[in-house]
Amino acid sequence: MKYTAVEKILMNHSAEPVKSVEPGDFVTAYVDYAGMHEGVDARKFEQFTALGEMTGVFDPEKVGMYLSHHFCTAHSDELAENQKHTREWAKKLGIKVYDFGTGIAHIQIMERGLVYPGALAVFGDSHTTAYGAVGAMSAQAGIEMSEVFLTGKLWFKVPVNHKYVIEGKTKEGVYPRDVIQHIVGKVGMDASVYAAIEWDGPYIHSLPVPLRFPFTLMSVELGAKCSFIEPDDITLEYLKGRVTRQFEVVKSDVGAVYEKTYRFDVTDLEPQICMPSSPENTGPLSGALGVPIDQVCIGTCTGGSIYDYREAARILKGKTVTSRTLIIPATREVLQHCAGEGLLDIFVQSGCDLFPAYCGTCQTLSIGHLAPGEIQMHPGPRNWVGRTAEGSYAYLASPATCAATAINGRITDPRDYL
Amino acid sequence: MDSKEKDKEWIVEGTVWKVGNDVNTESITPSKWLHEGHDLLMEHIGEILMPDFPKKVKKGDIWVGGTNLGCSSSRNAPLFLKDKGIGAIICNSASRIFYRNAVNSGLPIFGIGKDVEKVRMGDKVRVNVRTGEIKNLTTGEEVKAKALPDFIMNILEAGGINQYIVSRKSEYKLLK
Repeated sequence: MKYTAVEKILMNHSAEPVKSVEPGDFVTAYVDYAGMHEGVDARKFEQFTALGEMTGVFDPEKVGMYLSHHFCTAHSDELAENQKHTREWAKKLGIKVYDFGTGIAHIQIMERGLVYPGALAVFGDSHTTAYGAVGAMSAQAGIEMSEVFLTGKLWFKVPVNHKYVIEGKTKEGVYPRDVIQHIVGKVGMDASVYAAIEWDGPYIHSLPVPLRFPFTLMSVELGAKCSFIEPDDITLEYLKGRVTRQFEVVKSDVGAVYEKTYRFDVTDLEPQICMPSSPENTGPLSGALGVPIDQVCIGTCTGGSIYDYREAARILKGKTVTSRTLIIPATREVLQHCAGEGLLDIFVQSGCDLFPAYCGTCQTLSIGHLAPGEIQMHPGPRNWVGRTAEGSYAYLASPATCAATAINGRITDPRDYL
Repeated sequence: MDSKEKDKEWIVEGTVWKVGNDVNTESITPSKWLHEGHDLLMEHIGEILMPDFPKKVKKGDIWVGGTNLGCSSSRNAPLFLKDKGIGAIICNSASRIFYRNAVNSGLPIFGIGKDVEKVRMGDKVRVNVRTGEIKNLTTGEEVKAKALPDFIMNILEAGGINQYIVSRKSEYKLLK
């Protein structure tokens, strides 16, 4: 029997010995990491208090609470109180808290080496699919996190497998963020519902690890349960000094079964733009040039890496922005790199505003609120109606396109400045 | 009628509120209302999709969706729909997260493929949760959904995953 990496990870974490699995089977498996963020859902903690008194979690080393995923700071009395409660609760149970300024949970979890090749992880957020970028299997867990925190295990349905193969080399001005947006627009948001996606092909394996994050993270925009990229030398180099424990790389067998295979060649791909108000509503940037943009955010989970800021700085150097422009790094580590490389000076000199690491204006839960009729652009994964004020809209594009757009105050091709 | 005691039938009967394909959780429970308290969220839930929904939904009504129902954000939209009175969800297919949230919140959910076209907005529908039998009382048409696995039925009958944990408290050494 030939297995995919995801099937092998589920089998080797199973609480009961299993000889074989196939899609549709149920497996109860032990996880290597579990975490939650502060949540857009204020009722999140009722699930724990409803249980009675918890005296601990299955393994405090394997559990984390993340307070700066959606919010860069407590901006209301209610939120401050929720945050205080969370810190106290975590302290009592011995859970580590990643507080304000540490940044987006998913990116931190990979940067800090809390997940690793072959690991199984769950987190209370839809974008948990991200950790496949380092060869782990990871899936969202919601209200059932109480079961995970108490026992360290959870039931999983074995998903069908879909393969996405990307070939070719992109032209200048076309970035991984364009490629994944193009794919979501092309195959649609229900292309891989409840499936495990495996990304493959020379294009993916040429990318530095942080630029692989948008592919695994936005796999949920394709409907996926989890997402996986086979670790290569670039992955192992990235993990050095981050993962301190031993691990074994898990790979899919040659001959493993994929229900669907999608192929893409990015050689001729143009910069992409996602228009209001669905991630699927995507086309070439040339179709939206000139649209006035009130606010630009350069950051988010799919556009806030050091590679993104280097390109943004290359475009913004010596220029002045005319849109309101917020620089919001994905994590403190990215912020430190930006500072070390002198990028923050470039941003400030061009008239951008700097903010602590968190998930940015993809949802305006914290800062950067829009008035009805206003339009923003950011490189984040979503632009649904409801994420910002009624009557406001978002375009999604690469961080380079965001930077070029910020200069003109209108949607602009980044190649004009490269 | 809504009875959950063991060995009794669990019937949900109500009016259909029907939405389309790829409906995301943001449009059911928008970010802007999630932090404004439960009452305000209940006043606005679902209004982006169906302006009348929050005003006219009745206890036991049935939420019907197309393919990939509840895609995108992992917020627990099914729990809030249950709070609003929804007694069961029927869809062509559900997103993984939405499906698990519904089960773990004690809200029955059935994916029935294209048969979902036999149910229209405003129809009266009866769902037999234990057997998966779905009857459109308006048209007389019947659909049989695959019955839910026992362990999922156990979670639903307890009222959700946390109620299920509480009902087996002694099995959890970290719970006092």
